[in-house]
Amino acid sequence: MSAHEGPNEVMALQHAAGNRAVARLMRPGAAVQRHPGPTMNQEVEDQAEGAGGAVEAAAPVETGTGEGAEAASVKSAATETDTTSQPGTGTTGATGKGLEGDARKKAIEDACRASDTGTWAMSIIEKWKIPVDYEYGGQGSFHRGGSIYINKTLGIGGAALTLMHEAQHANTFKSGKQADRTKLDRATYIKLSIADEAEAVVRQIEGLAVTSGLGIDMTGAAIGDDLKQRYLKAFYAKRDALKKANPEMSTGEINKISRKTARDEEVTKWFYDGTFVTSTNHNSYAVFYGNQWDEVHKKPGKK
Amino acid sequence: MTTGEVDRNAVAMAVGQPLGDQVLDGEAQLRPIAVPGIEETAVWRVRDESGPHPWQVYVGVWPDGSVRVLTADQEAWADLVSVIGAQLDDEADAFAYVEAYLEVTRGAQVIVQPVSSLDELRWRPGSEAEEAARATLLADPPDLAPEATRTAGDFHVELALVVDQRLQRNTFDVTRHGEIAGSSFRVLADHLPLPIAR
Repeated sequence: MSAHEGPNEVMALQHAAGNRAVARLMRPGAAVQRHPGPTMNQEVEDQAEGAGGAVEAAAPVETGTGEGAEAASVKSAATETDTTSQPGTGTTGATGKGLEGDARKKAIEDACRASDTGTWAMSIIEKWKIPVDYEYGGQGSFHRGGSIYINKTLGIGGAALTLMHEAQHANTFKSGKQADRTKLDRATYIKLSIADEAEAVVRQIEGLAVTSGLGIDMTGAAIGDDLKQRYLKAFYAKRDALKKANPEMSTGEINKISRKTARDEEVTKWFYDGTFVTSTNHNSYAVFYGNQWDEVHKKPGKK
Repeated sequence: MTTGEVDRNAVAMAVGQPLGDQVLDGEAQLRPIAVPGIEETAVWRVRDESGPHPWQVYVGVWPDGSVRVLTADQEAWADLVSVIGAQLDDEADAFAYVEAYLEVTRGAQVIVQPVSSLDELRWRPGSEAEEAARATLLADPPDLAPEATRTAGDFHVELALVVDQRLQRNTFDVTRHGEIAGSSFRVLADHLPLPIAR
């Protein structure tokens, strides 16, 4: 499939050849869009065998989504390492390719609008009129003081996922719910700071499959399949337990509870157990936020 | 406005907005970084830990007082060293110089950690694929011992690095004047369950 073929061309091909044929042409794990506009979670649930609504999941492809596919994926990741000598140091970070200016902005926003989660992010940006720099030339990508900065080195897909993450922080900030280390006790400050991060990460995970399925540059996405698998494992464990214990519970209610459990127990743990560390001295975020609180409270009056 | 021997205004201009504000109001810490063989106030670390994530960049100070970001910019490092000069006297100097070069020019969100043994890796819980990659690595451990040798007055340095979730071996040819004349790397293992910088 040509990279130049847009959503309409893809959908026309789907109508003509069927979803499975289209999925086979796209890379494994790619999402298949059934109509213009965002792909909703419920649609993907219907589409992806076993996905159970945990994420905006990929369409089933020939390799399937069962244990065999998982084993194949494990083998692939463990053996496909390029060990040939390469020039340079490999330490400066990847740089995405492609669009600049308004074309980049439009491409990132279009990528967001392809998914339920990304559409939510755009609604937050529009609701609060949040300025977004889509070509930030400094270091990193972040939300600060009601503005979002998306680094120019991110690929379009990586930028879209980052926007989903930062929109969560911007929404928290604009809602006046940002954890205040000058007013909260230490434990509460750490807990609330990490809770917002965990929700932002879950939003990225939920948007990952549809966004990467668009076939766009995912450089700098920060969330990959390995973290998604860890999230899904927790999600499915809770889902299966709920189904067994409460046969009458609706799928929507089960998914809602499973999402909360996976976020509050699994994803939250990543900020304590060394999965996520600071880029400066590699502390966990529990340590980082604790140090922030300590710094403020050893200097009374310092904001 | 200066801190020691660096002009905060020049640093703020180099890092740009919005982070330049933290430099100007003193929230960001400025600290000189010792690099073997070059003057002590040429490279500075700029770090602010007041936000939800810490941010940090390294900057270089040129003799004319101008300041440029060195983070993720190996060409800027090369220019700085060519202008201010460097003198590496022995293998230990060369090795430490390469380590400083890697830290200062790493991407802002990239973990770069020299290691000499698998015991130094900080494992975290991983996915099945990551755990499989870890098992493969541990089943056949590579030699990670660093080495620095003198070659006709210049130096050859090899060391193992953790770079985000991969392990690699890097090779450098460094002149006695600090020029990185050649560099290459080979990935030893990838997709490992190692910490992720955010």
